[in-house]
Amino acid sequence: MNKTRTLLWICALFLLVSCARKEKSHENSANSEATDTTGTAYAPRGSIYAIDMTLENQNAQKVQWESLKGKVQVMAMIFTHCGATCPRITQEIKEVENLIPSSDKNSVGYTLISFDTKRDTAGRLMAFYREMGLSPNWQLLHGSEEDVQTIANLFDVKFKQMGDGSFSHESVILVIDRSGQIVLHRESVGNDPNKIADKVKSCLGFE
Amino acid sequence: MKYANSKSALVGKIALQILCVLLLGVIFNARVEGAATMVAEVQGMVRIPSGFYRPFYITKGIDLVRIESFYMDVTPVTNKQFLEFVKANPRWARSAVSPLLAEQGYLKGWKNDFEIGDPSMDDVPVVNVSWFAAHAYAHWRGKRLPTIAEWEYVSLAPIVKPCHANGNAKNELILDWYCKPDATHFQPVGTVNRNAYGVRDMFGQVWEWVEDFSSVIISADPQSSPNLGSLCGAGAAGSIDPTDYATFMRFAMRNSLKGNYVLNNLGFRCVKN
Repeated sequence: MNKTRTLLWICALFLLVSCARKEKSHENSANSEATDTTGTAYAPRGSIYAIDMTLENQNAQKVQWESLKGKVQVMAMIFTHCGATCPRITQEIKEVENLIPSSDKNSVGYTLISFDTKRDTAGRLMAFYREMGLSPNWQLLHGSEEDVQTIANLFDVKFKQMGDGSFSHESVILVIDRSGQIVLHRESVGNDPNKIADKVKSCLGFE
Repeated sequence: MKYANSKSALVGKIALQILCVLLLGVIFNARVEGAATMVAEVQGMVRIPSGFYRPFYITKGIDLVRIESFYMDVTPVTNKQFLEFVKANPRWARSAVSPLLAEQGYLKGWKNDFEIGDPSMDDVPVVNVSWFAAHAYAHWRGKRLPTIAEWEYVSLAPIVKPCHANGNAKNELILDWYCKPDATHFQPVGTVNRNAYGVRDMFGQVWEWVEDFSSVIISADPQSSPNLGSLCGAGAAGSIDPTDYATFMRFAMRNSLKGNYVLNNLGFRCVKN
């Protein structure tokens, strides 16, 4: 028993030491990290479009991940059978859309990616698109499990499928600039579409 | 600065998790389910028979997970093997890789972009690779990363070489390794130990990436955003065996990772359907 306890204390110390080291190395490279002014920031520099993937949208059209480049994107991960959180995420992004000046409407894309590779078919995504009353600036995407996992890791969104087919997931709204750099990573939902819209506007060149 | 704070929080979180392990555990208790049989090795992979895995964390509506038969790499991926991938895919070279896909320190033990340098490193496990890099490597080989369930399922098999170790003895062996203060001097892959499936070095050399490392979250309510800070209390309460320190530490470790992280004792191996 004593031996066990000693061993575990050593483990704990070792892990703490390695973490402390890691933290230091991050501080040194702090200037290479993007930060934002409105929410939690975890956004290493680099384009999310550096990975090749082909997804499918609500119109059953193939969508190259890289084709989303060029527009400022507001993105989130959802699943359409979600009872409360995902419609709220969608609603908040709709409010963001309403805050963008009409002259710039076409420069901003709104993209939702589904966790649910089995049930969220193009048809199901189209039903959700209509139900939520979304504009043509929106794309709802689904893809393979592998692609969903990759996007979740790019977005730093943890999720897990539950036994009933639903998903436990972090609710994150991201703003991505034209080049693919994550400029906002917000972990709370429904609070302040203005701040998200401000970030979008700053990507569009507004002050 | 915010970033640094979040890292401090991470350190705190890990400390809490470890403390929970210390407080809640009383005895080692091994769970080895399903007898394992030796299967012939095929092209560096062994066939793992189908079976059931009881998830370490209780998930609503899931008791046992059916694991379909698959092939697993006998050994972790080596530096030499990973170099072939980098040469064929130069955007994964150290100086070319995007920090979003692999943080600073990626492949830092290598001499330069396309040279390992020290020949004694050729056949030891590659480390300091991110999930994105491991994932891309697996894809390039026509393989994939194992899921948590698959990795853990295979790891339940007793160790048969160098000595038979099962139950408490196996746990002791694993924890002894986890406790090594400097676990970065590696042996050539395949030389450390072998389990009953013929899979080598799952323990004793490097920790390994898994496909769904980021799914280690506890939440009874799938509609709400999971409270990640609650892994401590809820984590121990939700695990099928809070006294299984070795497994608990692997889950705590995975929970602390992000896709672009690299660590000097974290490598990977691939599987195939």
